Amino acid sequence: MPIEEKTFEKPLELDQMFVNMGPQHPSTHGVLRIALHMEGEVITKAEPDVGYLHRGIEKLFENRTYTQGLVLTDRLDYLSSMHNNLAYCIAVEKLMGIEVPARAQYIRALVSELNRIASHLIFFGTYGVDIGAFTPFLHAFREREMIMDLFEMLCGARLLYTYMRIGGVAKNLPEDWTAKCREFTGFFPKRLKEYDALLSFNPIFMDRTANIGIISKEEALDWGLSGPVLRATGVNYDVRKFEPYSFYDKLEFEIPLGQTGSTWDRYYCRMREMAQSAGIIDQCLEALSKQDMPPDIIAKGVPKILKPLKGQAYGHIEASRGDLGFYAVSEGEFSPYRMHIKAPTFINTAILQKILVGAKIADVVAILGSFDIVLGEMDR
Amino acid sequence: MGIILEKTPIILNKIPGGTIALTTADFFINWARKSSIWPLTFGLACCAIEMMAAYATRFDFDRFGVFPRPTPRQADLMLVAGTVVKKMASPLIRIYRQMPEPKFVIAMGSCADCGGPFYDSYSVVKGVDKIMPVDVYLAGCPPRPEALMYAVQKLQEKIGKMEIKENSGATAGQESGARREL
Amino acid sequence: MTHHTVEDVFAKLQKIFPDIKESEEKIKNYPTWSVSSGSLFKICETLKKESGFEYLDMVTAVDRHGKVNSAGYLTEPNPCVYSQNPSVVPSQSPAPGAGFFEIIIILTSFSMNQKLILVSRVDRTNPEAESLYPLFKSADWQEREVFDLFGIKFTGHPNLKKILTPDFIKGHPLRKDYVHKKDKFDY
Repeated sequence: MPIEEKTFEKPLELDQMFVNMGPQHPSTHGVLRIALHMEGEVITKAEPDVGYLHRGIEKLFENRTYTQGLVLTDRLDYLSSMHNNLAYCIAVEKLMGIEVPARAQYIRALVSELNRIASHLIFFGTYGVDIGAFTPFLHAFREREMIMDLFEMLCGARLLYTYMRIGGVAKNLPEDWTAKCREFTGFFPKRLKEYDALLSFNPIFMDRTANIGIISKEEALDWGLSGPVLRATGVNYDVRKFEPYSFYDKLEFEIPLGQTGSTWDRYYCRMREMAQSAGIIDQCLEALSKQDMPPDIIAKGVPKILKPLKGQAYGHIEASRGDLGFYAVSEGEFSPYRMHIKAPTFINTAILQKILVGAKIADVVAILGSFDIVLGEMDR
Repeated sequence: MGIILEKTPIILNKIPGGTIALTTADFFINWARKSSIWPLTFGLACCAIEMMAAYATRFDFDRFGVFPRPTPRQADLMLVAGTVVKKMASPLIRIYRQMPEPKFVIAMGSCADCGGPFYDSYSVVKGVDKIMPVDVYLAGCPPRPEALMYAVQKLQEKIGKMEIKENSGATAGQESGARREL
Repeated sequence: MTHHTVEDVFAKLQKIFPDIKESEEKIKNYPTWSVSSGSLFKICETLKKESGFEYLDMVTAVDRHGKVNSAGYLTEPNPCVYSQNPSVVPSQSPAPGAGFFEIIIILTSFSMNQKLILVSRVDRTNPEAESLYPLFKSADWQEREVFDLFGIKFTGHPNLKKILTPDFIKGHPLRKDYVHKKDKFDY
């Protein structure tokens, strides 16, 4: 596929310049390509080109059983696999009408919040590298390795967990896990202050990010944004509050909102979300340690081979990057008839073609980085 | 460096006993090469996160002299970390051709080895070795950072056995760039 | 202007658009309405302007053509899926042109705290629907995706071209009768 053929549909004007960014670019966080038309250093037209990681997962679902499909969901948004597992399980559970036991619900909320922290830490680290600060990367990965240790104790994997099961979770929390997790949540809020001192309120960082890539409320709703990108504009939409799942209605937390919808707001929304997540983890651990909690971690009567009746279901959750939904259609077979993934990054990234226009070339990386894109989910 | 590597074997082969000098030169050149493997900062999918973790705090790849370079023109190792899909295959070959000789490829993860969980997909290249020569295959989905370190050590072993009298250091078939013209 | 329940909205809409009805097969736990493809755009417009459904969640499609054609995969069908039921023959293919496409649209109203699903049928031989891009910008890429993977043409879309698959992959992979032709990267 020659790249040139696609980009030069119209000849450029004399004072225009064409810059091709990606698919191999150190700060596109994967293989996104953006074709930029510029006049001087101001961008006049931006065309994101996705599909460089299109693996045909939606088609593959139709050739896998429901249990096998769970493994594919991990590979979508590989930074927050737990969320993908959870959204898929919720969709299939709705399809089959399975009630998940209380203990599994709390564990699900617990691990998905841990995963949210791990995912936002990667954002924090790589965003620093994008802007030109390397130290946050080392700090973020230090804390992330602690979470990876916790997950490794829980399910044996570091990145792609496949920990959830349809009807519950795979394993109970191991011994000493709770103590180790409490150690982490006690230690983490102090680190957040350190990050603020290191990067968030660093004057150079603020100068580079505070007044660029501004998205208004109306624009955000029009373009269907979700997650921290939407909440940075001030719209209070979080699936955990809008349509609570996994006992989020029993947990107390706040939704951090931004004001201006700038790049810095998107960044800082995520930083404040991490503090809220640490609080949710504490509450879940508290609830799980109660004596009267039944020990079941998987719903009773879930068959080994799943064969839902004819029907359709839509399950969605608040993943690290936004509103992640699975739309499942069953025709009463062993494999789904159709499985659509409503990927938040795919929809969020579309707005780039609008907000990059008028920005300077040096700001492209800052704006792009603040969307925290994951190509695995975007291209599916 | 290029003149030494290209011209010395020809001159020394004519002198009786000159190949002994070549083995000593091999030792030093290989030592330099294997102690400073610079990979390209280039991630395709999930494995790229484990690759990043390997560069970061706990695993600290700098100890091996492995330091990421953002441009292919300064890199000698390409870590194909993730699924190679058909749309990405041509840019990947293009990046590979931009790398200077000698260049090495580690296929990291099941997807880059053989297609992995996407073995029957319409849009995935079933293994990066279909489009470019691979030096080390690394299994796992994703491989742990320790496994990546092991792969780099295996690559260092391979580099340690290279001889300048045979070719300029590249694996057979690497001079022509990608394995096939696509 | 605002209605308190989604039933009110339905009753009001049914007066303007008689072809709108409650779908027989509900998408679990959400109100599901089936609408004709001709009035889909107008219904969305009314919902957005008068009932506060200002947020488009998802646009996708389902190919109701029958069983999946195994030629769409590069290997034999997954034995774990098919072997358990010997009566299912994976390669049985319905007549070409049989069946229809369903376009699924999910809308959200923040004032009503409600999600709403619209299902619209499109003919399979010459699939066409009106683009929602003038109403919701988020339809831009999602409709391009549906066009790429299903081949449904959205009239009125400003930039309808392939988005995910490369140019040399011909056909629309998510159609049930998709047959994969070996290209230069398949061996």
